Order: sequence, then C-alpha cells, then structure tokens
Amino acid sequence: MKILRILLLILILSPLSLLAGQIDSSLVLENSSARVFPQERFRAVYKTKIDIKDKSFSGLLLVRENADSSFRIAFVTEVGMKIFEFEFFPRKKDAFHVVSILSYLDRGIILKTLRRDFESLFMGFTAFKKPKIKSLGKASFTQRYCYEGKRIYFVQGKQILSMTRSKFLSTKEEIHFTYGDNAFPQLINIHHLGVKLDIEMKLIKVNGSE
Amino acid sequence: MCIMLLSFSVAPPSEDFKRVKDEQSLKNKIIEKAKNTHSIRSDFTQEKHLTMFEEVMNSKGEFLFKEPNKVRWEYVEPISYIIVLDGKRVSIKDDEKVKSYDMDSNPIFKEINRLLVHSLNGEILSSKDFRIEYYESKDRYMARLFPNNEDMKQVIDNIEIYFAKIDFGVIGLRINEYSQDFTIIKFQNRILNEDIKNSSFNLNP
Repeated sequence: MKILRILLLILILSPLSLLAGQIDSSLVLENSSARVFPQERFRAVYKTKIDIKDKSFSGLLLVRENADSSFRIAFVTEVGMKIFEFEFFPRKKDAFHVVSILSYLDRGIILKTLRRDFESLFMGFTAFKKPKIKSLGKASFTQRYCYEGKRIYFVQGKQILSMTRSKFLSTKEEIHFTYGDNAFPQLINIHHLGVKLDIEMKLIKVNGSE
Repeated sequence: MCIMLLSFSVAPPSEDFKRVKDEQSLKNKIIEKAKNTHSIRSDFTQEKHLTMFEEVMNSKGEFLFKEPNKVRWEYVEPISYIIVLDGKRVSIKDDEKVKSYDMDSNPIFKEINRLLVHSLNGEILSSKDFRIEYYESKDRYMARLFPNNEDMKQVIDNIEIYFAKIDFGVIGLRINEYSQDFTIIKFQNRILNEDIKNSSFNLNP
C-alpha cells in the first residue's frame, strides 16, 4: 500500500517536474520563430562548393522561398550544368521532392544528408511539421534551442549563429553562420563529422540586389 | 543582374526555321570555314534557363579558342571564374586559386572539351555520336544534333549550333536538356585568326 502511494505521488508530480524543466516559456515563444534567413519570400544566390568524398563541385546555389513557405533550391555549375534541384514543403507529409540530381550523387546516404543539411538552413523552426522546441538555458549572450532533440541552434537575438546535430552523444554535423551588413548570412559552412561531405556557401546576391 | 524572372513575353520571338534542302553543301561550307579558323576570341553571354524553377541564371565573359584543342572560358559576371581545357588537362581558377585535373579522371570535362572543339572545327557535323538535322532562317543556319549515346540521351535532348549566314561562323549554342532546362550561349564581337599566345591558356603564374 505504501509503495502504491509513492507511485501515485510520482505520477502526480512528474508532469510538474517536466514543466519546470522548460526554463522560460516566454523566451521560447519569442525566439521560436528564429530563422536562418530573416525575411519570408526571398530569393538568394550563393557561390557554393560541395566536397563529397573525393569529388568537389562548385557553382551557384539558387534559393527561393515561395509564398506558401515552400523552398526551392538548385545547384548549377559555373558552366551551366545542373547538379541538383530540390523542393521542400513544410507541414506536408511528402516534405521533400527531388526534381533532378546528377547520377553520381543519386545515392541514399548523400540525398539524405543533403536533405537534412538544407532543411537545417531553409526550414525555420516553425516551418517544421510539429515544432518541439525547448530552451536549453542561457550561456553568456547566447541562447540555445533544441529542435526535436537532434538539432541544437545557438541563437543570439533573432540571429542563428550556429547549429550542431548530435546522435548518441556524438556530434555528427556543425553549421556556422557569418553575418555582414544585412541580416542574411554572408557565409555558411556545413561540416560533417564521420561523413566526408562539406559545404561552403558565400552570398552573392539576395532578392536581386547586391 | 544575375537572376531575373523568366518571362516568356520578353523572350526573343522564335525565328522561322525551315529544313535546309542541300544539307551536304551546307555541311561542306561550314567545315571549310572551320578548317580556316585557327583561333577565336569572342565575348559571350550564357543563360541557364531553369524551367521548373522559373529562373534564368545569366553570366558573361570572354571565350578563347586556339587550334588544335585549347579552350579558355573566362567568366566575369556574376563571379570571376576561369576554366581552361587543352584536351589533356582541365585547369580552373576560382578565388585566385588554381587547380588542375587530368581530363581522363573527369569524363564530364572531357566530353565538354570534345563537344566544344568539335563544334568549332566542324568535326561534330561528321560525328556518328549524333543524328543531325539542318535548318535555316533569314540570317542563320542551325544544326540540331540528337545524341545517339544512351547516357547522353538521359541528360541532353538535343544541341542546337547556330551559324551566321554571312560567314558560316558559330554564333551560338543552345543545349536542350531532357528535363526541359536549357542553356543558351551567344558569341559576340568575334575576332578570328588573331595571334593568341599560349600563355593565355596557362593559369599558373
């Protein structure tokens, strides 16, 4: 009987303890709309280099966010050869569509990795199907936000400074953002640990302006 | 401007091309012209039309060709980028860094170099890799090449090479991809048979 009482006490208190673990709900709400790209419906061009295993691809990456919050990206070499073109549809079951991809890259692990990388960049927190975001507390000027327990974004104000993705306590991926005069990230570096796939992006134009 | 909305209303009106009756005669004239072309210096514009994306990527620069097989593409907009092909090696200058690769290790560049050089020296018109149809409009001839190679067919539907009627020189290319994307390259301010130094094809200082 005593054991039953203790169990009941644990069951009653446990939700309260979980709620208490979410430090500051107002901060979460305020920053849950933090995005890598500050404005909706934008068009940007990044000079991009993708190193995959022993191959290196360079060219221009076109990014466009549409009115329905879907994203379209295309990676085209300087000489006009398209490497891949993807579409992302947030809040839809089939959220990812491969329009085309070079046969060399048309492999499950590469596609999965590229998809995850670009989702990390282009899909804002709120664009995911079921946002589950919690604050991990403050560390000096930076707040950390965790998305679905895998991606941890380091946020300062409305700017995302970096992101790490871990699995089984081991860091699998790091993304670093460098900002210039406008709020768009000028440099984006994606580095994988364990998979030889790195992406460097340098902003050339955004919304048709320099 | 690098990116602009694809607008069919501002696209140039399509010319009225008709099949050429005496294809062999035209082919001979183009090949003769090509045989007498030892070098080309030309400005170029490149439009990559992403049909599904409804975007056009515009770039421009300078093109050099020197026989037998040296080619240099220098892009000045929207980014600085130089690619040199000489049949054996491909060299790329990007962000002041120069990298060279053995062309045998990169079949894509090897094929690009072969297509370009064979387009310029006329050999492509005798190639068994393509089925060719010839057309003409008021000012231009056009050779439409359909690849026979199954691998190429999966990517490229056809390649159109445009020649000026006035001198049979190549003035443009249109590469129509299977995905309905297409690339248009236009050559302007062509200078033929100028003495182009070999150093122009060496990217290492």
